[in-house]
Amino acid sequence: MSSVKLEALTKKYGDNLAISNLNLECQQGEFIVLLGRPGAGKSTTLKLIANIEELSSGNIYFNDQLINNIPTENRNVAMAFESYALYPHWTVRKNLEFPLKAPGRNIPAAEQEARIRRVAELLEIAHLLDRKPSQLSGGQRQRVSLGRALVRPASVTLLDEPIAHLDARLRHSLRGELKQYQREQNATTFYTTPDYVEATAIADKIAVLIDGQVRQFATPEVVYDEPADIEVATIVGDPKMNILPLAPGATRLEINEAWLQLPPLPPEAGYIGIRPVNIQIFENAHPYAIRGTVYVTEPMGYEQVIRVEAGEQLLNIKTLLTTGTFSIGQTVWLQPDWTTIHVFDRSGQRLKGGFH
Amino acid sequence: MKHLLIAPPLLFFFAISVIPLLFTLGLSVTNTSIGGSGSFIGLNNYAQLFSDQFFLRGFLNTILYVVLGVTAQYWLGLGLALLVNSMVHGKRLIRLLILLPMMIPPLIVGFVWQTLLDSRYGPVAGLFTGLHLKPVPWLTDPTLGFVSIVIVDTWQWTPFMFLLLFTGLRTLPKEPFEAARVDGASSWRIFWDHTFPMLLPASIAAILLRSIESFKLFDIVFFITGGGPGGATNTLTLLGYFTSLRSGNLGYGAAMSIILLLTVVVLATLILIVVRRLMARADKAGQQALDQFLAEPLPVKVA
Repeated sequence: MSSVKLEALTKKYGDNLAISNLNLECQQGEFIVLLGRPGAGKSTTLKLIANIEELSSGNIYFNDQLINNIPTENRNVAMAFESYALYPHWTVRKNLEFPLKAPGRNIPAAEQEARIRRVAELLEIAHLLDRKPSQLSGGQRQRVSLGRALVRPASVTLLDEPIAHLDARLRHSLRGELKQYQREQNATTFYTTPDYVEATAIADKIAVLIDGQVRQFATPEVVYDEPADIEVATIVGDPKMNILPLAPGATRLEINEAWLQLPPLPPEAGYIGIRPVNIQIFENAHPYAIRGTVYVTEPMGYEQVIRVEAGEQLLNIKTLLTTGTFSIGQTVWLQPDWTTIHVFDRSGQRLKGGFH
Repeated sequence: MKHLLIAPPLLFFFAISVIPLLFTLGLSVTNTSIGGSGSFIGLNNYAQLFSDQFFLRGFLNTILYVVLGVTAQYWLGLGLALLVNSMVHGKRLIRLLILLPMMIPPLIVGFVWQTLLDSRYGPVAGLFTGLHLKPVPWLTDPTLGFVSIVIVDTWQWTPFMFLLLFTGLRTLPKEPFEAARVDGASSWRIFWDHTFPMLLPASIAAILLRSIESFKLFDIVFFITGGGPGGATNTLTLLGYFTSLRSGNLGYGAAMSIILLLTVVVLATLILIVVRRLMARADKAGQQALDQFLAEPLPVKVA
């Protein structure tokens, strides 16, 4: 229930820079997702906020108050650990109870019981309350760990990949429930995940972490529609965005003896990016299309992902299953939708302005 | 036929363990003395034991040595283990230093401490005189003599407790303790709610091993007070030794040994029952820690 400001956070492990000059600011009650590949510094950022890891430099503010020197137990943060970190000698109920009984909380017994009930039902672990962690499956343990973080009101709730090990059904239903629950509690939440679908589904704002830095911090729509650079663009979206290099001053894209006229681009343009859903695929020769060979197909329910070899490029295309049936080695024709392309400069930064 | 293959170790075990035990048992129901032959006297030796003030004192002393010594060693060892475990630098060096007393043969330990505590010429007495304090009869007063033995035994064997508990601490997962801090628990509560229960398997193993060893306390007492003054610091092993080999009363000494054996077996079994109970309730992680610990060879052969 606090606003949070991270100012130039830096964390070194020996000579390794895990977090370098990370800045982030969020309002009270916001749901922030830290999105990034493994090793990007997501967990470390949470541990710095909880003071489990010590800052090398930088400042952390809760409600505009500097809390650098406040010890973990007095920060009033709640955290779900990626490794669960359950208390192995205690039952699920005692695990959930422990944060409610910490000194200074003074939560009446009836409210404690009600809170435990509430999260146990939310996470579907009500029937497991008298078991010990060793008697639970991995997914059940993860839910207990999540429950322990949600059970009490905290200034900031830190959730480190809290639903990564649940089965698909529960993962989907919990995404919505979790967002709703945290909104209802008006809890400021930091949530990490490497999965962009999860991130866009649950976040008020996404912070894309690459090499210990926030590359982009914006709403899911903005991160998807206007990725700050090529790396962000390839993390957000599945399959990843197609990136095509441009020759300096090129006005057309030549692939397999065919060429496509490019829209007018600024002179510093170095790459264009096209999302897999923005390329049309045809079984027969088509005007204004380039030729390619199907490399692999992945049907996924009502959709399919087709990878096509076109010249030196391997392009991802995502289309409805009803578009047609494609087999490996088949010749196909591709037509990008130029109105939706992303343009990046030689260093990979997004070029602002409309090119369509 | 295949069972024959285990015959050699069985024979060996029989020869060095079972036969001496049966021999002692046989001896304990006779009045055999060194150099003379004895005759069967039934349970007379045992009956006599229970009215023998020396024996009863030795029996009580042995129990007290175990209870007081092991208790002191456990808490000191645990304290040291927690302290060293929380150190950032110099862990290796301090660990080595703490283990030193355990590496010294008890004979030397006894001699060193006897010299230290000598009420006329010892450096401790010198220190007291230097500070204008009254000299303390460390070894010649019955109560102080007893306390001195407990102090020396604790000095020598706290490192053993430290080693086992420190190893136990290192096998505990780190994250639950981080989680407990995040959940707002104080160091005190973290210790009692998490560290202590999770360390319980290692604690029980350490206490069991030290208790059994303590029952056989001999060398330190032998060298420091020789059981005196007036039998005030005697142990059962010491008494058995004096009765059998100094006074030559083999039958009576054998009966003492058998009583000691029975006491150890009964108490060790009781402790093991408690351990099993706790193990059945303990979580898998703790059990694995204990299994791992018991499977590892002891770093130092227990004297």
